[in-house]
Amino acid sequence: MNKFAKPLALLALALTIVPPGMILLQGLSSKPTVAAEADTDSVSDTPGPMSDGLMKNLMFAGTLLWFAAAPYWLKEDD
Amino acid sequence: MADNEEFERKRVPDRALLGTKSFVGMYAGEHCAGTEFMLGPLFVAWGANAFDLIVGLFLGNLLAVLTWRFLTAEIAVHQRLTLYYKLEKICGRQLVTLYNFFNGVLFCFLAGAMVTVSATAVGVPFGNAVQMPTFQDKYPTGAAFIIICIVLGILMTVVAVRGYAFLARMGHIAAPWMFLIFLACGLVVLGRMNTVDLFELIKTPAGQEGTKIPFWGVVAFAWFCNSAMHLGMSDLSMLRFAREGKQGWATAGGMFLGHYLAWICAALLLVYWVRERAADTATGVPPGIMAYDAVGWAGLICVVIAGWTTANPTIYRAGLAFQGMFPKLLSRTSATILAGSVSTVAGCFPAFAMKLLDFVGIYGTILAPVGAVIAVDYFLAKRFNLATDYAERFGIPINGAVLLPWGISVGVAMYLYNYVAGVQAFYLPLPTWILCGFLYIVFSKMLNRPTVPA
Repeated sequence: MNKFAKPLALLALALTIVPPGMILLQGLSSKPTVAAEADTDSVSDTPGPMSDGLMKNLMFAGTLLWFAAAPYWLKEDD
Repeated sequence: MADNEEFERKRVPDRALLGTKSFVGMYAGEHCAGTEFMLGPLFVAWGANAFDLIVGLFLGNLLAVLTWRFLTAEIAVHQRLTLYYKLEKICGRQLVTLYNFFNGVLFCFLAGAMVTVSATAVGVPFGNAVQMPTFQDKYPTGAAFIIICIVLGILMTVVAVRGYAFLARMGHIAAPWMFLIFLACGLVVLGRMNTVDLFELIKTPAGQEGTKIPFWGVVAFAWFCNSAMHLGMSDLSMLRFAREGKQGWATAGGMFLGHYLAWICAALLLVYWVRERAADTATGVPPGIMAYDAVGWAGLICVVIAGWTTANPTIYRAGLAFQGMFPKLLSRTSATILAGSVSTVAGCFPAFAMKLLDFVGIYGTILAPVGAVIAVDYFLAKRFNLATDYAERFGIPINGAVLLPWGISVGVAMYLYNYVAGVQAFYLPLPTWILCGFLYIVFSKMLNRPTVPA
């Protein structure tokens, strides 16, 4: 288990922060600009690949994975 | 600590000293807690704007780190004694008992605030069955909320009695993940608001006359919210394990992750609710609900764990303080149960969590002044021809030259806080600390014998 603890813990941290980062980028890219507002055909709230529900599920999985792997990674003497 | 020795009544030996990494971890874990979910939104509720938060918090936290580095750490690495033992040497055993009483009670109230914060997360799955407290609530909001607080309080107390080491370990493990959850909350609500322009987002609400916490208030709060630990020298007990004073810089890990980024991210949660969900800044939104809305179950778990991992050591420390008062009457277990019971009752009253900005200021104002006595004893005793470690040297149980300055300075501060308009609690720790130190020199000259030949 110790052998896999570090990569799994790092994966858990990635699952915790990358999906919210994607939500931020999607939110920024869908920000209505002056040009977009003028163009009535454009969609200012385009959904990206990361939905709110998917992000929350990935973060929850990351949470479970973190508490499973981190105790083996962050040893007492660290 | 090495060999599980605590060195409570002797200098820490060289073999037990710790590296910088240990202190960065300890401070980062301790200052990324459940209360951060309360403090960020409270700044918004009090009308702080983006400049106040970004620049004010930076400056305040920098001043806090400098205080730790050049005051607390400096004394800690030269003396290598716990606060309690150092106080006993200067003030006498009986005065330490009085200090323990205030310390224990205030720790219980702080743990109570964390019980409240955790309860706002535990209550979320129960929906409307649990009436959550708002910023304006001081008293229990209903039977369901009380039951949740009591259950959480009992669990926290049982764990504090039986497994402090487990919880300390849990806090150590949870810290990196908790910080990322705070960050995630901020990123998600920024994404939902389609902007990262904090200056556009965080503004003093229109119609609010002025702000309850101006720029210098934010600076003062960030500087003094842990004043009991740096100015008050409580962290002598921790930093005495440092190899050299410059390891005091490690406190920056806790300040700039927990008290800067985490506070701003938590503040953004309420900003989002105010802008997009028409929430009222005056009443706020419980942290559990905001975290769940932003990042789901991970957020709820974070609120519970953040409150839990900080409340447990706090209950444990309060128990130790009570036991220190009556070492023959109370075992550590019964003292911890007493502390847990007080914390649980306090947790049922949202006042401690919802008035956290005030409470933390009062906490520092009462406890920090004794640190001025230690600072005078260390830095100025020779210059003013005062005897160091006076109580130990002359074998007295209570040093009046400490009791009087402490009582007078805290009394003046509490008078100003209660009766003078515009004086917020978080401005008071430093003036109280300076007054106490000055009066200690005056009363030592008046009441105590001068230094004696070694």
